Amino acid sequence: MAMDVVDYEIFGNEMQYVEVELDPGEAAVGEAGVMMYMQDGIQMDTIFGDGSAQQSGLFGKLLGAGKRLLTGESLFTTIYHNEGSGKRRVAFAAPYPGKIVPVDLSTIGGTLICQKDSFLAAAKGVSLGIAFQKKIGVGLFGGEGFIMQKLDGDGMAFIHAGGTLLEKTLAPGETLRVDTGCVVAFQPSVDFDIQYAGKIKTALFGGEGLFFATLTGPGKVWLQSLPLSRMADRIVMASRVVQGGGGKESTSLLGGIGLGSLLGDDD
Amino acid sequence: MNDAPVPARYYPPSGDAHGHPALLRWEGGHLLVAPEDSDQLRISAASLRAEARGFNHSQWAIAWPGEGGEHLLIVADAAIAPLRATAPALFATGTHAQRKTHRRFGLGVTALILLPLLLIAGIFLAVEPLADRVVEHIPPSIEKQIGEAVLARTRLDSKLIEQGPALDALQLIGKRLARPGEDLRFYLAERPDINAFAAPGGVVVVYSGLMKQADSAEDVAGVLAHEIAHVELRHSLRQIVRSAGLRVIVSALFGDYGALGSWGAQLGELKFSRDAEREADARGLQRLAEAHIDPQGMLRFFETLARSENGAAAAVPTVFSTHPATAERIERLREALASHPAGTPQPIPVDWQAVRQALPDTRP
Repeated sequence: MAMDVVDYEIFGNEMQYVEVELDPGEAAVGEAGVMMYMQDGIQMDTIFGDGSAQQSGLFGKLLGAGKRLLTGESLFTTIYHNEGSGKRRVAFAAPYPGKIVPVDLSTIGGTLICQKDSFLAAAKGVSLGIAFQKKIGVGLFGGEGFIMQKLDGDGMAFIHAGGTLLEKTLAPGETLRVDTGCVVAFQPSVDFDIQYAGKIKTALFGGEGLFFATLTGPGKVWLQSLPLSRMADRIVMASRVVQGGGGKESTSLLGGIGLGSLLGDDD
Repeated sequence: MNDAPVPARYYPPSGDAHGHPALLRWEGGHLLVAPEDSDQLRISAASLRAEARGFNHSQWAIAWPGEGGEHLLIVADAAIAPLRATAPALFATGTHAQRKTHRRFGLGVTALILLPLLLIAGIFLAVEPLADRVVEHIPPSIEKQIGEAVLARTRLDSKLIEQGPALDALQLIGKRLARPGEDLRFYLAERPDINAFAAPGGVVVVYSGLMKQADSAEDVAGVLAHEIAHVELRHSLRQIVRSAGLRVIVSALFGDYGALGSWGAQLGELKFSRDAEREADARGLQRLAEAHIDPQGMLRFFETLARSENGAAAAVPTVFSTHPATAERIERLREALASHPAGTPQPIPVDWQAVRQALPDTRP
């Protein structure tokens, strides 16, 4: 299956968008809701599933859509075709401060494992799947959860990471210890594991948690300096609305129980 | 297919982190490695080691010692089949490791799904005996206070009939049913529903609709005997403790999901009342026999009830929806009456027509 070859250009510094150039007849898939603008001649088409040729038949489409639901993305993806006669451009914007990572799947062996929710756009034909993290310990403490996203194909894919991006190629046996939550993507040949921080004092007061994620080469890894959840925590902490404390969100151990409900339904 | 070359990535010992694309195939007892940009290598199968590694063990690392250190090949699991077919022994350990990972994950997922279910089932099983324990330790004085609270609420909802032949008849029937030393109080509420209930502390409330609908004093006696049995068995107290206990546990576990809590409590009540009603039917029948009241009244009343259920489904009193199906109860009563023939009953000296006429006409 031939992938569409996509030319692209990334604009911006900390809040980026990627502009993709489509030749006549070419197409790109975008995550629902990330399109920023498109030129005349580009047709939008919302489809159920991810639009890769593997998903033929109703069942395949349902399965694909269900998987997307698991990774926390919408059931639908949008395909942008160039129906015009010349080159046309469509742009996809990153949803929070960070960097857009262009990955040419053909140069890394065809498969990329990335953090769920990080997919932005890809050439049509790249299949968006999920990969369960099958090491229970890593799923629980690795900071990325049990559900990862798997991109398969040999075209371009654009994923998004928070903060500043580190792209590193690990030599065979080379290990990097990473704060949990900072792993954006890696090649499947990289061993993703966890390591106990080692000292109770460090774990409790060092602020890094009980475990590190460890990445062992060979293979490429992409790390983000600022996971969205960390930034969100800071924003919430800084917000005056929440600092007041309590409010509707507080669920205490005995939250909803009053004397009224004890005697509420005795007839 | 064994001749088709297998795509791989070759990492020479020089420390080159990027590696080089290469093609692999077996030739005799040797592995031929053809990197894209360097000379072909020929390695004896005996010096090779293979292990599954990477994300979910989805990659194979094939290594061998050479000049300058260890050479490494990375092959995707999807492409390994031709190599494995020729030398299964080389890949046996790795295949085992792969299976182990998948099996563990399957077990983990099953456990994650089963654990909450088991927890919920455990709560439902544990609440009943726990609540019954608690009920044993509640002194009669507190039971009485709860009864007063229920009565006070009933007074808010509906008017109590304070005098008249209907109340007199109710008290008379109640007195005959009460055993010596039992402290039972009977109240008549002015409501059109065919219903009656027992609260803790010996409080029995009968709705005027029930008296109006009954054909004789014996019918009402049957219902009263049933409700007194509830009091005797402390059913309503148990029900209050159980549903309160369930609520406490469910909200402590699941936070403020109010709907979930009351849903669980209702489920508990439903099962509880079915068993309790059967028990109360049996005990009530016993009490009727002791008081020398014709037990056919209880049966008749259920038959009346069954007719009104068939006649107008909408008019079915809600309280009976948690009761066992009326037909089933009638059948049970018939059997009980047949096996224990009552002695000679003494009629209750009440002019029933006068009682019915004295009641306000509030039929729905």
